[in-house]
Amino acid sequence: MEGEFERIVLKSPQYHYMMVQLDLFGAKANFDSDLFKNLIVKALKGLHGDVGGSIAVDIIRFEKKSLKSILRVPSIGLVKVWSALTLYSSHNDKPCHFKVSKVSPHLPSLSVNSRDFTSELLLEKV
Amino acid sequence: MVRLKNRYFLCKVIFPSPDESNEMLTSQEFRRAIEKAAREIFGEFGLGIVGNRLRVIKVNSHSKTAIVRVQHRATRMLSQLLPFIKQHQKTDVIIQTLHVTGTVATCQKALIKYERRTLLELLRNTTNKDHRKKIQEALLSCTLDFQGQKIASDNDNDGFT
Repeated sequence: MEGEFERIVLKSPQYHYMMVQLDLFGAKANFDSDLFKNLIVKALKGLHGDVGGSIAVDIIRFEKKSLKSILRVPSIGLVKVWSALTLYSSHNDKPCHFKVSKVSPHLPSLSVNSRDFTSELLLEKV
Repeated sequence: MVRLKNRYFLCKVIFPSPDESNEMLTSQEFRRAIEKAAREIFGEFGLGIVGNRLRVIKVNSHSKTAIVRVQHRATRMLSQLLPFIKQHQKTDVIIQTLHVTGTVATCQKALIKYERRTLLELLRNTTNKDHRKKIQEALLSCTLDFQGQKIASDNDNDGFT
């Protein structure tokens, strides 16, 4: 296994990438990426005010069916964005919540993680 | 338990016209204005930090000054949100921070120093005879003669509430 990996360590990344899913607890809603961005800014403004609302969060990918999305967040604003998304609990009087499943300074690492490996794959190498 | 630290802000409220009839904010109004500005600029999180040990301690309606207390953690936040208090009952106001101290006593000392300095400057710069007389009376009311007796008596409570 040695020599097959290359480890890249970035000490101070500029951006963090988050994989976020909006869970509406079964309610149906017609979302597009603009509305999703609106929700994120609303959450930031609610918890962190104008200072939070001015953090430049970009939606890189948005999937309408599962409401999953990949966001790019400047690293200085990561704590504010993550806390604001976690504490956002209702949309149009309907309960909702944001599930943050992956956060990484490297975008490719959001595509795969070791929990997705199947047991056959693990046994093969040994 | 480590010591609970506070910071005391000496603030001056500036109105558009230097009129005597300008209604100075009461302590409750000032506190509500600070909380509103904190919620706007820093959100619920900021409101929690600033509002924790927030108290408008003394308001002087004559010299339009106030002493505001916050916890030590909120010093930067309060100094950043005071400029965003822009309106009071349909008049534009500007909140100027004169001094930030660690105890109420030093804040009051700073207030006395500031008022003494402004009174002397006013005395130097006034051209109006009535104004000059008023300022001289004000200065005399807080000076003592060589025996340590008060020269003139002051009947009002100097505007402190």
